[in-house]
Amino acid sequence: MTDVGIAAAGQIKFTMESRPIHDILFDAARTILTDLDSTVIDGILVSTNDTHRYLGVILSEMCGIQPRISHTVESMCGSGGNAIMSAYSHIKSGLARSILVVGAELPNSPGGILKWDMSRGQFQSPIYWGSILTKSYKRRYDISDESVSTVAAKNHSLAADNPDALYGYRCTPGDIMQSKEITADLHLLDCSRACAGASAILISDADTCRTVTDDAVWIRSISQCVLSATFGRYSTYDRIESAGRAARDAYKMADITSDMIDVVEVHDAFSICEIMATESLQMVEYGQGAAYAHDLYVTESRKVNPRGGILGSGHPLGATGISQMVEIFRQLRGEAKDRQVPDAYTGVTQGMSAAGTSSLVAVMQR
Amino acid sequence: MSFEERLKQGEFCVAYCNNCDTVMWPHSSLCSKCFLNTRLIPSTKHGTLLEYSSQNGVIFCVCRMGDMDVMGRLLSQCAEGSPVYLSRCGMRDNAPFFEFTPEQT
Ligand SMILES: [Zn+2]
Repeated sequence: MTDVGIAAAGQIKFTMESRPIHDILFDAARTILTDLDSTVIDGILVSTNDTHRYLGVILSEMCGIQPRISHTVESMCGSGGNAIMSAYSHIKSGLARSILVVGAELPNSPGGILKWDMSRGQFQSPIYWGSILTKSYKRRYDISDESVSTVAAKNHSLAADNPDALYGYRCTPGDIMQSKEITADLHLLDCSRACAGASAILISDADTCRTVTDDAVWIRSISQCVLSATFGRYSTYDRIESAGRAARDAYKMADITSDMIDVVEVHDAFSICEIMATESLQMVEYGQGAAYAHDLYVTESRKVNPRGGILGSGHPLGATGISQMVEIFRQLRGEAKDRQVPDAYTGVTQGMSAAGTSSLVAVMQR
Repeated sequence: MSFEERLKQGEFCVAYCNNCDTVMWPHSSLCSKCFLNTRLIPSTKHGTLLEYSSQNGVIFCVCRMGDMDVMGRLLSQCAEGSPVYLSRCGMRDNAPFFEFTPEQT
């Protein structure tokens, strides 16, 4: 079976502007197509929670391409990662040689709330599960609010060097704690914000990668773990078990260990999620994630969420998983400019859906 | 009556499979283990407070009732691990709601 790589990647700036979903998809696709012979593309996948129909095929027509494979992938916040996984699988199987994956979302996306999940009762907004996870972790490990908010301070500050980010300003944990109290355990700036955004990535077999670029980034593994759809099936609320299991599978498939990771994009929907993610990815022991985030903050390290993560960049649900991989692509090629992690060779992404009931982890190498 | 209709009347039910003694939550008309039909049975009303937080004076919580966890409103504060009971439930604005009260000790 062929190796699968990322031959090209691009994205547009995240905003709060509402525009037709197919326009924003096309804008992201253009960032790749402008410099590409589009005849290499034989698949187009779209990831979004938007309710418009047939978007994969509409985008194909807008791009002037008649692909062999085209459809839309929806899996809530993790849609982008799932679309990339589908593209990877199609190429591995030989069904396609090169697939353009484009994710997009608008600020009013219906993807933040899972109405099916009766276990959440009237507390359907993500801020409620975010609060429960935050409180549970703080209580289990005796962690302060300020420690948790260090993640948000770090990621908003990192986003200041990301021209595509929705936000981006240097700030301190104190600034985060001064922001509006959303619940007793979350401040406004501890919460990611749904926004408009789109990103695109070209996933290709080895031969096509080499045709398009002499500097491809290779996807060594991609693994999803689904535990449930229901929040009320968590066994414990102080960790994201699905991310831990997906990471173990992905590391095994890629034959890496966590100490080989140079740069990682994790799904910091809330501050606590980054703390839990670095633990699940085995970068630190359980209970050490907040101290690790503090170290990253005071040393101005860009190893975790160099683009500012979801907190700093904004969260256009269908684009988020793709934007994470776009960032790793740029980091591994040394194209991340002011936010470049020196000598990055191995990069990881971790995305998740619906309160972490499922997670997806991918490993990339130059 | 459906799950929602019984919930509207203040009765919290779960789906139960007679064949394999499995409880399904959220409810489902078919068993996720043996795929036979389930029936709705009233849930236990007693559980344990796992975690809580609050918003504008409203305490929201996760309670474990048997093998299932339910998010709802906690009507007065108690410590994690305390016994609670489901004192009220129903449907409001097409969404279920659950209210828990600390058990008297
Ligand atoms: Zn059964």
